[in-house]
Amino acid sequence: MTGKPHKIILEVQNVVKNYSSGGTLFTALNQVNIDIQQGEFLGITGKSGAGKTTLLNVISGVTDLTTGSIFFHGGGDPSSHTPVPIHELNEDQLALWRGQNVGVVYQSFELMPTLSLVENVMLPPDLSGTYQSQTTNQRALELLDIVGIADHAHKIPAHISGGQKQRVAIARAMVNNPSIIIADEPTGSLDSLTAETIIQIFEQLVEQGKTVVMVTHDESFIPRFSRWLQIKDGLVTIPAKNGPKPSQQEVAESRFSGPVQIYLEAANASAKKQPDPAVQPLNAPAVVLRDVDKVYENAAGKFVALKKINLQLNYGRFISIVGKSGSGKSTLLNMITGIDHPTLGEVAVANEHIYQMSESKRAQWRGRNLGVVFQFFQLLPMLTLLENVMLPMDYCNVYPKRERRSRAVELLDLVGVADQADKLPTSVSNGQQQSAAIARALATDPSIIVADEPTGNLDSRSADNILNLFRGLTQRGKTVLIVTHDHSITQRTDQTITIADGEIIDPTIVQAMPFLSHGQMLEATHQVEKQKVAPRETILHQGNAVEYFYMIASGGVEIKTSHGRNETWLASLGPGQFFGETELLNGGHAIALVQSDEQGVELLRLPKQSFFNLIDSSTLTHQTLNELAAIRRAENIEKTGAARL
Amino acid sequence: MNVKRKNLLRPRWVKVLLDLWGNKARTLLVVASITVGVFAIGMIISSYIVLKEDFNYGYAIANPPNIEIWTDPFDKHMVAAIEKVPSVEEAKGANITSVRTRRDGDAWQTLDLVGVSNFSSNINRVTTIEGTSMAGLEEIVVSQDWLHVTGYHVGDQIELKFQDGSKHKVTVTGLIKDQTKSKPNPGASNYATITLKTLDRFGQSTDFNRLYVNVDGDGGNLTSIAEVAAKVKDQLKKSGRSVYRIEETSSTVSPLESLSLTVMNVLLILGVLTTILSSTLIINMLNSLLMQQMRQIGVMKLVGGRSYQVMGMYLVLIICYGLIALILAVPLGAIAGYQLAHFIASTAGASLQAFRVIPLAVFVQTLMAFLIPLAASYVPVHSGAKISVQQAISNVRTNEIFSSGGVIKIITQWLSQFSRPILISVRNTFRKKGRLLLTLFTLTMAGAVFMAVFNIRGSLEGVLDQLLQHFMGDVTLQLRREYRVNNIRQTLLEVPGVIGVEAWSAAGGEVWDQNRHVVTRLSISAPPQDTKLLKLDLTAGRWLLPNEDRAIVISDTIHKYYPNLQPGDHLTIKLPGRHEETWTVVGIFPFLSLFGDPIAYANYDFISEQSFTPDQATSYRIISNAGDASSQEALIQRIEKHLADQKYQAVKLQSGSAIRKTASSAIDTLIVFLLIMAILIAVVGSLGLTGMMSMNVMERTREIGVMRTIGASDGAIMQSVITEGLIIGLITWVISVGLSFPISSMLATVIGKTLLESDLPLNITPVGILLWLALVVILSVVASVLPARNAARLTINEVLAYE
Repeated sequence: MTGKPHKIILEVQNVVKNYSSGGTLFTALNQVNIDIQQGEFLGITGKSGAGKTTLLNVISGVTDLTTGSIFFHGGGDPSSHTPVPIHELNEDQLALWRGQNVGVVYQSFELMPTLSLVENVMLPPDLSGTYQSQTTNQRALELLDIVGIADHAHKIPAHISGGQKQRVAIARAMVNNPSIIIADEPTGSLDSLTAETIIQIFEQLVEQGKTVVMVTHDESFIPRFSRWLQIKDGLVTIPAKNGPKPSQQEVAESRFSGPVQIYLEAANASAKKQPDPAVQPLNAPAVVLRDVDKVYENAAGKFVALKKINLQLNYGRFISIVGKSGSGKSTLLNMITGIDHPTLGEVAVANEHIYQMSESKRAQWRGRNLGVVFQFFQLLPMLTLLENVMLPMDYCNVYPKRERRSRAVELLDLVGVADQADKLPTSVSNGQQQSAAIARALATDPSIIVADEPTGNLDSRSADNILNLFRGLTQRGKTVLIVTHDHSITQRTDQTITIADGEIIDPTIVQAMPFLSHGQMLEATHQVEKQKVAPRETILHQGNAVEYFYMIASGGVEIKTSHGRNETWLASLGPGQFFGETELLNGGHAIALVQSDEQGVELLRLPKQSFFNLIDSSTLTHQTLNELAAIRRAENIEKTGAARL
Repeated sequence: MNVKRKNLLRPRWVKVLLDLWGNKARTLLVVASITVGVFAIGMIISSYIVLKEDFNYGYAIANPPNIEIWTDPFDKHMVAAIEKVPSVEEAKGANITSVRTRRDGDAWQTLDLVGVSNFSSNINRVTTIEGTSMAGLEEIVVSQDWLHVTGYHVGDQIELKFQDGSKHKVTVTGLIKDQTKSKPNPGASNYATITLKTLDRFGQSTDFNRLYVNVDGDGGNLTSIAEVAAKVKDQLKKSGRSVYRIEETSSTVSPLESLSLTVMNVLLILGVLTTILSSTLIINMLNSLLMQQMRQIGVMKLVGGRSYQVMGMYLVLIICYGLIALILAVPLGAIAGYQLAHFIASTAGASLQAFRVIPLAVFVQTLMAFLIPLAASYVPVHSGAKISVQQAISNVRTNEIFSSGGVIKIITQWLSQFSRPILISVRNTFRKKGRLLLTLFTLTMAGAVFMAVFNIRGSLEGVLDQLLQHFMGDVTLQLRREYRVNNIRQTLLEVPGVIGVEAWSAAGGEVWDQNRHVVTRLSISAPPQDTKLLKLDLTAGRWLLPNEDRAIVISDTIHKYYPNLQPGDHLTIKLPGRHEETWTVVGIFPFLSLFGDPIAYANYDFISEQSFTPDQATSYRIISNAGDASSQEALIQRIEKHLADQKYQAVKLQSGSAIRKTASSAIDTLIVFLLIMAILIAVVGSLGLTGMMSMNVMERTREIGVMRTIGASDGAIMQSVITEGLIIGLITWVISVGLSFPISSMLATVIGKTLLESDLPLNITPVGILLWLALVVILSVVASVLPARNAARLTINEVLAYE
């Protein structure tokens, strides 16, 4: 990072923002203090509902404050400017201030649909009074060139891809040469390659002395920020002033208990993932997807949302689908719920080939067999919570009419909002709305519950309650399938499906190399070879050259050393664990004998060159594997030595 | 799509143009909403002005006679003598006689044959519809208008049966339109012109019996016309001729001006109504437009747009909508207005000047096309421009309130126990209260006007029934001369179907003042004292007593001359050939001043004596068991044959149903016109409902997706939307029923005062109420089906993408 912070451009002082939800006050921002410095790339991360978008809206004057103040110090010499009290400006003054000083980029692009790209970029000068026909046009074209989309300058937004739209939005944000660019999840709807391009554009702007403030829930961007703030439940948790940029390791440790520990605990992880023995999963598959492709086509071209998806999900499990925004996880969920059509392939849910039904029939089938929970609850606002829960029973004509009310009351009681039954959704809190939405999803007693980011709009306590509720449902025999981008949730589910760029990442790779980016994991998925090894068969002979990095998909291996006729047991490895890295990183010859255990093993093996390519592109993985190799070697020596003694 | 445009316009104006052109369906809907109102007002004003300017102009151009005199036979020398009377500009004689006519195979019908010596007179110029206006030898030219249609065509061979029983064939060589013959006259027959030479060839009299006179100077000055008429009458008397009847009329003001005025007054009322309704439609449409644009407004404010800039953009957009609507509505309104005027004028037999665009209409249309949309949109545009960026971008809407009280709350609580889907429809109905109110208003007004039209129709029919009893029986018979009543009665009762016969005498009297000046002429009818054909609803006094002489029951139109006249008062009345005598008024009945001179009833025996024809009559009214027009026509054929067999000569035989049909066709014309207006309003109303339902569906796309997600089938979604439309329709129906009473009353007042020059008693009929119920159900379903289908077609994926 070359852009060095040297002066404060925006001061956020003691900002509090309260919202009223369901008659109760909700604090979205609590005593926030941030000094934003010129030329910095400030990243603000936090989970959904943490308050990061509210913070950004407050900074850009889009949302008013409850208390506190925000001062803008302009772009030049601070001594020559009187600070502008943003919190005191009216709507029109704010609009003009934004137009002249702030560029805003949203996840949803927010381009004017009827204007061409160049006209979109020319709009801010027109509205903020700096428009000069030829000059503005020239500048707009130059900016489109900078963001690499000048060739499409005269197209309309509908005819370009999401990534291209975001580039236009960035060009528009820059057109008035603002002092500060504010970006709210700018990569949220983009694939990983496009997201990287957008981040690179921001980095270039910072190098040119611009200030970029970006909020994101994607922590993989943290190393790219010149300063990082974290927000949780409206509280900024890292000191605002001069907060140090975290190292990659710190980033990792903030997500997990420690990288090496993760590896060491991997063996236990698979055991943890076993479902509750009290509720054994049924063997019958609840959901089967075979070779499912989903391709969207529009004027911007083809976009492959899902690619050759093969998946089987069994009854009675709590399953999470994770992936970044734009990875295809919601599309995958839509395939399972029958909300969208696959371009190719078969989908069977509860033994029904749902795409052989008409849309109308599928709606009724869905009502009876699937309970759907949305991120934004989607309770019908004109009905009380009780009526909302009764509605699916009416539509699907299940349960006798006189029993529907009592069943709805029971379900509301189950989710803990029976006392709110006669209230309209707007009169209860978000958490209560989501609880009622879950009760509605259970109304027709479906065997499968699907939930798209069900905790995405809730504070952490409400989210915790909802997840407990889901766990309880699986204990009652339901299959719960949730889509999330929150990795912490995956630790509470029985099974995790990770998806990137429309493909499912092999879960063994996710477990074995968690510090790879999803793109890298996907690359590894493409490159691994599967190997099935019979019980007690040798996989690596001590002293032989090692050509692969091995990851255990199922079963287990025994690692031993042999010295003459003496064999020393070193370790047993299970699913999600790996071997071969010590040899590959230290000379290439096996330092021990690796053998499948008495049940045999299924392995994924990554060719040596691919392994090196991957760890070279992931410093954290490289570093962690090195440390782990050192530990294993030391353990080896220690155990071998002890055996000799 | 590459849309490279030169930088002629700033981006914001490019956006305005693209909003206009890019979303053609929306532009079409908004422009249609404005156009309907602007078109309607243009049509109404154009029609009003054209009627006002042309109705009397066309009449004056025809140069109708100021004076028409029924007198003893006279010749061309007498006409020349009359022309020498001071202030007489021109005189013309005609031989008018009733004949029976038929085309081969057709039934006989009565025709007044007008014999003229030549066609050079300027009096009463007629318009040729087809063929010629001048009949040659053994030819006739038939007069035809909206009310009088013989069914004869140019080239038809027609058989004429004269009063002497002789039959002759003539050829129809022309069809003409005569404005002066279209005035209200329930008994008026169709007529045709024929030359005296033809009459002579057929052995008929060639003397004139009708004199037409035009006065010098102002043809609209009724006082001077009366003076000239007196002089002409004196001249005729000096020649030893009796004058049986004189009619004085203005040659500049059409006798049907009141019909025209009625229509124009109704037009004005409807114009105002349409303007209001159209405005509500425009308000709804523009509100919806602004709501759709809210996110874009948010973006503009995000990148530096200030309120006045945003307001400016949308006001310009709205002006563009207005301009397009104006461009469409001005020519359409002008053409439709002229056609409407033409339709109304044709009904009255009047001719219009050439088509023209009315500047006042264009001016009002221009004001309406711009001011109403601008005024209607000011509030939404202003609040839209002032909206905060966050509100605009987050799609948060705060104007939906589900709390409700009173009846709605009770209904929804009750419904909640049975069906949530119906509950959704009910609650959705009341969700956007402002929008609902505007839609309710539009559709309610349409319904109320629709029902009022039927009430007015019922009222006019009632008046017509009251009116026609003065003029007809089931069959009205006119014989060539007086016959003894008992003989004729006996003869007629022999005809199958005849169950009663009444001999009616008549006399044309004059009411004199103390100075022996004529106050008014008086048309006296003399039915049998126990007549079954008159059921007068007397406003004062009583009916005639048996053998009561010099007693009259008189129409309330006498109040024009004697405002305080009451039963028991006396009038000086002079009958032809008798001295003036004092008569006692015994009863007063309501009548229409539209028909000119007052009418009165006296005892048959007394009048027949005064007419020197005791126990005799030429006119008979026949009561039959034939109710409809065709059976009455068959009865006429039987009567005519039977009378001919008995050597009685019938001059005129008219079916009561036929007369009624002719008379009610004028009412039907007015009703059709009112219905057209009501339908126009209904179109505005249903357009409003369609717009509202489309907006509702569009705004609730996400909810529809959720409903689909939890199991709602296509049918359930459509049912939800259609039920909502039906609820709105039925609410408007209930309110319309209530509102139809004051609107009916107002229309009755306007039509009564202008058309009948009397109060129109309101007759409430269930026909309109039931018909509108059916119509509003159909309209509601039709208005909801398209949005409902669109809603049902939405896939959940589209819905999720909508966020």
